[in-house]
Amino acid sequence: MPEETYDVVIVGGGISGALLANKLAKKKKKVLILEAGLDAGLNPSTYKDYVDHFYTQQAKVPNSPYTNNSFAPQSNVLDIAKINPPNPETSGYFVQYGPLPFASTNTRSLGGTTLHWLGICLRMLPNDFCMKSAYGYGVDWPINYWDLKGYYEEAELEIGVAADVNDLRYPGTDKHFFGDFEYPKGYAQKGKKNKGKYLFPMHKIPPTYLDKYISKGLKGMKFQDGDDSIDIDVVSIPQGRNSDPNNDYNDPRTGYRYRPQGAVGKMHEGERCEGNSNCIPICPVQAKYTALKTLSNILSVKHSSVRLQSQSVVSKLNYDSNGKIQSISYKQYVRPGDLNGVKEKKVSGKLYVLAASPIENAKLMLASRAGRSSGQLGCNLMDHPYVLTWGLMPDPVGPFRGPFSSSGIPSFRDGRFRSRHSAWRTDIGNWGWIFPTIAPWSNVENRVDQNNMFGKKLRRTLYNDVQPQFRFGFLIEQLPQSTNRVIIDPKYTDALGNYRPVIYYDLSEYEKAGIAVAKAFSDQVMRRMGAADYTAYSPADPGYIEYQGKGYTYHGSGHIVGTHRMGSSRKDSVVNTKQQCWDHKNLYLIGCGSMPTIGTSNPTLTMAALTLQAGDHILKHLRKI
Amino acid sequence: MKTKDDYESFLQLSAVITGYQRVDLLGTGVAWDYFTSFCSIVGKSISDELWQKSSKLLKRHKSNEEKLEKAIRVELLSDNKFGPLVRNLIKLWYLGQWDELPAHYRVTYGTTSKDVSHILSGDSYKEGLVWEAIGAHPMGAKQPGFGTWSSPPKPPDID
Repeated sequence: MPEETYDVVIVGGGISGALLANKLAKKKKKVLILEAGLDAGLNPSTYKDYVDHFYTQQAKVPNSPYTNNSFAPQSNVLDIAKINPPNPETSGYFVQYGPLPFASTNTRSLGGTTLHWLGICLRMLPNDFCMKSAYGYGVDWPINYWDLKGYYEEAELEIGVAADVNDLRYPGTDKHFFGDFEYPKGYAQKGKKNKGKYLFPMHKIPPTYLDKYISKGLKGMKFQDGDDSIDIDVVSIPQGRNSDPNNDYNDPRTGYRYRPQGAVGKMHEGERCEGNSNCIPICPVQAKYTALKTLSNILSVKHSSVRLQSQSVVSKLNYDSNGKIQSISYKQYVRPGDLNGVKEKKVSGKLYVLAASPIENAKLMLASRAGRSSGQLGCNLMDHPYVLTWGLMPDPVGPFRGPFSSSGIPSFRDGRFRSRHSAWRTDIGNWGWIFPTIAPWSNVENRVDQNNMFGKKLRRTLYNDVQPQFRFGFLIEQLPQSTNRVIIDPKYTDALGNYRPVIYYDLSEYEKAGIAVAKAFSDQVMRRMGAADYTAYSPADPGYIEYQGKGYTYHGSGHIVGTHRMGSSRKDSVVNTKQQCWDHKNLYLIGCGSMPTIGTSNPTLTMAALTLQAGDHILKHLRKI
Repeated sequence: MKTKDDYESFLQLSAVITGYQRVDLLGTGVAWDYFTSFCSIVGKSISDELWQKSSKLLKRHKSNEEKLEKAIRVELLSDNKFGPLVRNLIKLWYLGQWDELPAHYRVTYGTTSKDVSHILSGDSYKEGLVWEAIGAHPMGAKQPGFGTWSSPPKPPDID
C-alpha cells in the first residue's frame, strides 16, 4: 500500500522541480519532491564541502565538485570516449552505441545541473519555434514565442537574470521581442506594477576586457554566407548571476524593489558576482543561480506544504488499465553504495511530474513501459555540439577573470541560411585556453618540462603565454532525429538495479555543414583581429568528425534536450502543450525533454518558462480533481 | 638544527627556481607543508642530498645571481637524479600539485608510495603561483570583486 498521498509528487530536485514546487507551494498544495541524489548544498557548510572538494580535484570538470554516487550515478566528461560500433562504449554511466559520443553530462544531486550550469539565460527566437515551416527542417512547436513571452519574464524573475534590454540585439527580432511587460495572465503582482517597457531585474554583468577588445575589432564586419551578407554584432549575454539590481524593477513577489538573492543560508554573500571565474563547475559565493536557492526558499517557510525527500531513486511508475498512474515506486538508501538499508517504497499523488533530466525522464518512462503510443519516447535527443577555436590576440586581453562568457555573437542565431545549414551562437570564452588545452596548467608543464625554464624567465613567459589567449565556442543547433535516442537494456543496470541509459547519437550533414561555416567564420575573425590561430582538431578526439575533407571536433554543451517532445498530436509527440503525457492524464513530463527543437539558446531559461507554464496548467488540473 | 637549515635551503632554492622572493613564498602559508610533503614523497635520503647540494650552490654563488642560476641549471636541473625533483618542485609551487616522477627516475632512484599525481590540499591549489604570474587569480578563490574583469590587464611587477 502506498504510504502517503500528495497533491503532486515531483521526481527530481533540479530547476524544473524547484520552480514547479515553488508555484504549487504558493497555493499551499501538498507536494513531495523525490530527489535521487544527496541533499548536500542546502546549507553553507555542505555547500563549502563541494567547493573544497573542487579545489582538490585534478581534473576540474563540470561534475568535479559533486562526488559520484553509485546509487544515483551521473555521467562525467572524462568518460566521453571514441566509440567503435557495433560495440558500445560502457566505461561511464551512459552506455554509448554512437556512432558518435553524446558528450554532455548532468548532475544528480539536489539542485541538479544548475549546480554546474554556466547561468546563461537566453530566450529562444521566434523562428526557433517554427523551424519546419520557416526553413523546412526539424519540426514546428505547437506553441510559439508569444505564448511563452510572459513566462520568460516570470522565469527571468525567479532565476534573477541580469541584462539590459537596450543591449540585446538578435537577428529575426524587432522591438516587440522584449516589448512591454506581460506577466502570465492572472499573475499576482504585489505593490507597484511593472508596466510599459520590459526590464530585467538586474543590470547586465559588466563585459570583460576581452569582450570590449573583440567588439572593437569586429565593428562593421560582414560575413558572406552563400548569398547572405551577415552583419557581425558582439552582444552581451543575459545571465542568471547577481549584478546591480535595476531600481526601476518592482519585485512582484514582494512589492518592493528587486534584491539579488545571495548564498543559501548566507544571504549577504554572493549578492554580486565577485569574479571567482568559476561559474562552471561551482560558484563559491553562489552569485550564480542554482535551484538550491528556490528550494531553500520553499523549504525554509514555516509549515511548508512542500516536503523534500532525498536519496530516493524512482524506479517505476505504476498505472492501471486506463493509463492512470496509481503510484510511484522508489528505492530509498541510507548511504550511497551501501545496499544494507535500501528500502523499496511507494508513494501516491493526485498528479505526478517527472522533472529529471531528459535522459532520466525517458529512462524511467521506458522502464515503466509508459507513454509509448507515439513511438517518440526517448527519441530526438539533442545537444548543442560545441566546436571550439582558439588563438592568441596581438595584445594581452586579460583572460581568466570574470564569468566564463559574458558576450557573444548572435548574428548566426537566425537567418535564411537555416535552410542550408545549422544556425549557431558564438560565445566568447573568458578563460583563455582552459577548455581546449587545459591552460594554464599545460603552459606551466610545457615551459618547465619541455622548455627547461625556471625562475623569473618562467614567470615572465607564463604571463606572455597566457595573456593573449582567447577562445570562441560555437553552439551548433542540432535537429531532432528519431534515431538519436535513449533506450534501456536489462544488460546494463546500476548499483541499485536501475537501468543505465543506453544512447544512440550522431550528427547530421545539416549540423556538420553548420560547423564548417562556423569554422570559416572563425578564420575570418582571426584574420581581421590579427590573431594567431592555434585551433587544432585531432582524429584521436572523441568528438572528431569529417566534413567535405576537413576535420573538426565537437564537445558537449551540457544542453540535454528532447526525448519526450511536446506536440499537437499523440501520434507524433509524448506530451501535449501543457506538458501532460498523452497516454497518462495524471502525469506531466517537464523540463528540457519537452522541447521539440533546441534553437541556439542555452535551454535552461526556456525550460524554466515551460515549467512555469506547466505549473499553471497543473494548478488548473488540481482544481478540477 | 639540521631541519631548520634544510628548510632554509629549500626556501632559498625555491625562490631561485620560481622567480619569487623568499618572503612571497613564505606568504603563501604553504611553504612548510611543501617542504615536509616533498621530503616524505621523494624519501628522506634523497631529499637530504638535494638540500645539501642546494645549500652548497647557494653559498658558493651567494652574491652572483647569474652564476647561481647557471649552477642550478647545470648541477641540479640537468642532473639525472636532481633534475626531475627540482622540476617537480617548480610545478608544486606553480600549480600546488605533485606530478608522479618520470618512470626512468622511479626505476633508477626509487620512490615512495606517496609519489602519485595529486593536489596537495585545497590551500595548495589556491596558492599556486601560476595565477599571480598570469595576471589572474586562482579559479574559484581570491576573487577580485564585481566588475574588475572589465579593466585592462596589468602585468605583475617582477623585478
